[in-house]
Amino acid sequence: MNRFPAQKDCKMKILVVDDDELSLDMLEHALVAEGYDVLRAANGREALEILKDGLCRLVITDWDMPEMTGIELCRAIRSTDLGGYIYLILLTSHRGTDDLVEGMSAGADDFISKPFHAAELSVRVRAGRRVVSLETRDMAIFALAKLAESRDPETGRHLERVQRYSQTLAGQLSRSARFARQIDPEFIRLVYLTSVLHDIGKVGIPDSVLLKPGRLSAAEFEVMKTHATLGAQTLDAALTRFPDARFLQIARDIAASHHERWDGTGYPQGLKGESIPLCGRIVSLADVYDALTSKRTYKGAFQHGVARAIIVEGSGTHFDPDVVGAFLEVEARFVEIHEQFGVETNVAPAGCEQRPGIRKHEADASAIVAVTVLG
Amino acid sequence: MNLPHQSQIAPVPASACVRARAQESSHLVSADPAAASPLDAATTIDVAELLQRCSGDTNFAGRMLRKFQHRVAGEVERIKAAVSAHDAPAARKVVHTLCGTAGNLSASGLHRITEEFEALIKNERIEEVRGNLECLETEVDRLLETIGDLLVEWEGESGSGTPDCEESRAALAL
Repeated sequence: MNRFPAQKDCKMKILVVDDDELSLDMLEHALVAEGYDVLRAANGREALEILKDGLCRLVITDWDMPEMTGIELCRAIRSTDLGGYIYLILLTSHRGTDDLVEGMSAGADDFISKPFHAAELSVRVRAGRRVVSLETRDMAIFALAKLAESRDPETGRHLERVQRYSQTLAGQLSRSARFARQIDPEFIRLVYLTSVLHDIGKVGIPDSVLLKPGRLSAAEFEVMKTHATLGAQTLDAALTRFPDARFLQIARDIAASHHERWDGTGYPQGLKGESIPLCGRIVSLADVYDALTSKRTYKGAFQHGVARAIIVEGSGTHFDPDVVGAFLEVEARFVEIHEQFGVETNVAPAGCEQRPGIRKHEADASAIVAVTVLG
Repeated sequence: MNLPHQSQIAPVPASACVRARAQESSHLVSADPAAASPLDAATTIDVAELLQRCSGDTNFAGRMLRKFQHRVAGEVERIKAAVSAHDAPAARKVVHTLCGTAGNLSASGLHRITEEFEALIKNERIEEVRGNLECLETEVDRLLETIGDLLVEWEGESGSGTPDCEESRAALAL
């Protein structure tokens, strides 16, 4: 029996959006002739529904449509988490520079003039395909992080949650004048992408420490703490070869600094305040929140209110006060993410008793906070 | 397969009013100095371009042309109604759709007229559209005749007539 899917199942899917059926027919025919699978939508709302299944990464949309224009669709796609980057081509008879600026500002990646020319359609779609294929990099990053996480079986969908918490915090911070220039859309995306690598250094922690079921000695705890430096060193090696790769720089900063504390009492470097990279300050809170609201062998999952209180108490000592402020603005979204990606159900009542001693997970700042507050 | 050249299927001369409009519009002027008038050399439908857009598939191109045959009269009526009612948004919407269709079918003459109609409506000159509706109807008539000839020609090349072709002939007879 052939265990592999037939080639036809591997065709790239392209969504074409146009309110004119004849135009849809012609685009579909041209794209099918090029070997693509084509999905059709008669308007922007239909298109968004189709995109929610996460199977389509390239959209060709008409500009002028009733209900939702192509421009509005571009904006909606860019502001919605559709599980990955969507490459957007606007099909348009608008030819002016102002139109081009408007289209690209709304999030379009490319344009095709109407009526389309088959050869032009072909090369522009191929260009989009190249961009979308870069997401294999994203998948490789995630796979690498998952591999590291697989050695630590307690954490469930920790990576997916930390990604989204971090993205949410970065997005909220970008709305404030203080961070607007520092946090651009690419920064938000790269924080989302690379935050999964925050504990990559744990691959270098011996099993005798990482998987130890009982208490860690002080010496073992010191070994555990080296995961931040180990992660940074691993990514530094990659940065040496690809110094212009911004995602590697951010990944490295996150791995190196997500256990630093605002007051300088964190590790590995004891950095203080704004000397801690912003991405590290963001992921620090995301990581702690997730550890607090997730079940561990040594603790139950705290309810949101408890986790919130611990984080607020840590503002200005453990956490950057601005990041805590952003967290309070978007806490409802945190609850949503936890519900969407959370699997742990063993909720500990507030004030539950903690077992004494240093546990392996106390290398996570989260557990330290929990012990500090509740112990 | 021996595909028809555009000159074989565009023998119908442009109407006087369309020609006059073409002369007024600088962007319609042909680059060919030998051309007496821009639309003298213009084609009703550029078959080579249409087939290129349809990956050379005359069956598919025929289906698209038949779809157009079936709906164009309704679209022209909607344009006339919207223009008469001074309903610029409605007029622009239908004209825009017709323009897009004409472009996709490489119906050059209709594409030019509807492009200009769109511009006029956008610039709040809907009265000028009203004054040129006859040009639109003339061009659509020309186009339907050309499409009819083309479908018959393709039908001859492909052998027996398909139900769609029969339907097409019936539509033309009406």
